[in-house]
Amino acid sequence: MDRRAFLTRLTAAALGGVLLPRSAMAPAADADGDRLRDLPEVRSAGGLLDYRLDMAATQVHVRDRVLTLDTYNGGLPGPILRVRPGDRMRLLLRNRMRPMGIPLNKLPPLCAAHPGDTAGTTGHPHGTLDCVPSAAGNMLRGHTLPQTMIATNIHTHGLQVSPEGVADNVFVRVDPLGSHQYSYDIPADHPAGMHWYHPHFHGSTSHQGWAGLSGPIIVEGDIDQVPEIAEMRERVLVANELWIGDDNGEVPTTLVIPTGGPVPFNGIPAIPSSMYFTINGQLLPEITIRPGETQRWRFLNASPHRALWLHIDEHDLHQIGQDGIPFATPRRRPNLMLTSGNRAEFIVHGGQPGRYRVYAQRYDQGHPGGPVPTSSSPPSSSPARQLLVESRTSWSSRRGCRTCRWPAAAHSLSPATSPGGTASGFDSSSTARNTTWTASTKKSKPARSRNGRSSTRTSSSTPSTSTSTPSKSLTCKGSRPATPPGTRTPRCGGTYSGYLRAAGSRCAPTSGRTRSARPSTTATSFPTRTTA
Amino acid sequence: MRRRYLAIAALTVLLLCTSSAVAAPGSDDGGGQPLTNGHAYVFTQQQRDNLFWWNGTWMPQTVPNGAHIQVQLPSDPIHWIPDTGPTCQPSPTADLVPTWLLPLRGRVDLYDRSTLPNEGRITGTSTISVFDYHVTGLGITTICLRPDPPATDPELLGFPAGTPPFYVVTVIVGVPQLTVP
Repeated sequence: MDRRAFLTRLTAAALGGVLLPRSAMAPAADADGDRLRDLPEVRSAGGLLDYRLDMAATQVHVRDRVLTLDTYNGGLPGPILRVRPGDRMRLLLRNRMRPMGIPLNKLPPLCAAHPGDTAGTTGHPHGTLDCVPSAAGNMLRGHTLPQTMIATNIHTHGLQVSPEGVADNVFVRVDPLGSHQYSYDIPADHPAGMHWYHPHFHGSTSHQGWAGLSGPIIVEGDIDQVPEIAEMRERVLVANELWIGDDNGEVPTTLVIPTGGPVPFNGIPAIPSSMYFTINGQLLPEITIRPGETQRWRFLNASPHRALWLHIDEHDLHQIGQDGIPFATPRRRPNLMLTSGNRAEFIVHGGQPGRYRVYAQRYDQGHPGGPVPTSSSPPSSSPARQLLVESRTSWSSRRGCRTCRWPAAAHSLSPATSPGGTASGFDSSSTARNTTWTASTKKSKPARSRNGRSSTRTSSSTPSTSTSTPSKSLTCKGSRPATPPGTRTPRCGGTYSGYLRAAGSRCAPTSGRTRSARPSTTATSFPTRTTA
Repeated sequence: MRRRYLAIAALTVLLLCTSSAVAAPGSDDGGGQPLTNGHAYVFTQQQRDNLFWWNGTWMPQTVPNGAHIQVQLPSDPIHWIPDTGPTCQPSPTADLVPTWLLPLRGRVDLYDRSTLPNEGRITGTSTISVFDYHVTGLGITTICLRPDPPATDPELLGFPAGTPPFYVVTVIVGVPQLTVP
């Protein structure tokens, strides 16, 4: 190695050490096929959530590849932030990203105009040297592509907070080695539901989204106090769309252009690339549920581009919220369409023992300028059913489970609707503000809240101002193992049998209408892992 | 005769095993992931020699020896005909033809062509014609496609305004790909 090469590498290593403190230290995400992992979470205390988010490159294992992606605090996706109405949330964003994914197989055009310009607006240089001042000026202003791709900020997508100042201001620019202190005042009447945070610096939003930079924000409120919902095992699922260069495992830093075929984007210069759709940073994770168990899923489509037509084989989705807005009553859906940024909250009721696919059915969503996606449209003419996202839900049998039965007419969850509001609890912020969930004062036995601590719950929820019929309650039976305070456990936690058995015992409802889960035609046995 | 029975029995067993393996519940098909374009360097009408908005300051990109290059062009009613004749030459950059800088020539072979549906996305076209090439050797290589029928207005081809009404892309073959460490 000659002296020049040595000094060059030494300088690169030093810069990398400053700008990339986490690259070699970050824990890897789980391999595919593992049980779905729960995301780490932080929650407000005493009306305040004060937290720091570091953005830096992290090595992530996806299937048999090691990807180098920018992440929040080393996680793909970022941690869950839980707040309550009236809280203040303070986020310190620190940008420790470095340039990555820059293909060196072509010099950028030195004097390029914006591709949206027309031939008449750009003019032609009189010589290559004419371009030098322009290129130098772009570099000084930080407007070159590599500089733009590592400038960032945070958008609290869906939160009804100020868009100015140190709050949800998407015009803030945080360059590498810089930081920004955000402060958000959550309104006291903020609806309870799922939102999310992600970079929103104009010019690099998609690029950083393709790295999976995203994280859930959950506003907890009245709907979470509804006993039937509070009782359920909650899962937060974040679907990411990772666009990865085949040769370097990094998100390409190129001028992105749409293409045809399975990978809908390429760049200038062109590089071979692939797309991965992960759930909580995992490919094809297994999601466990028990026969008869109900689970509350909060699902975020954090894909920058892909709408997900979400299905679970042989199971309906009982939607209770959309985009952070709780519904007045559950809505039974055979599937859900989630475009980029959409969140859906729904309840899944475990059916017969078996193994079922959770997947996004392929359809033609069009491209920029193409048709608007619709869930009523048939799949594209290409193979009838191809999977963009797949995880597996397995039903298991065990003894001692605690089972919550879905109400007879699924009408036990009732909102209080003030004048001007609608029962849908959807579509607009004003509607959302008018829809509140209340619980009746009828006391019941102590039960565990979501985090495992004992609390006093009510056995039913009734509307405070509406005149709907008093609801039927969910009934629970069985026993649950004791859980240390502060430990988050599945609602029906415990050990699983080593293999699934179609004839195994199930968490049966105590009475009333039985859910319509059909017998599985794919009941099989496969090894499972022990639960926590 | 006995051998024939044995052969039929073996074939029957093989077919049964094959079909049961395909239909086995819980078989892992990988979920169709990742989505991949077969490790291709994909070029489109937006990615060609000397687009007008590059203002003459373009340089051909490099690809490794043996690279798969895929060209996607809007088509129907326009059809594209590969041009491998002497008229297929690199476009000038900074008033120079790149072959002056690198006189070696790589080899390009068209090995597949197909179409993708593209109805209603690019005005005046309904499909995307896909051409798959292998490039080998070391040096400059140019891929050219001519429209049939010929057109003078690039927008009739679904091309950006200001671009030539035919397709030319030049690459330098045989250069290993590098990225920022």
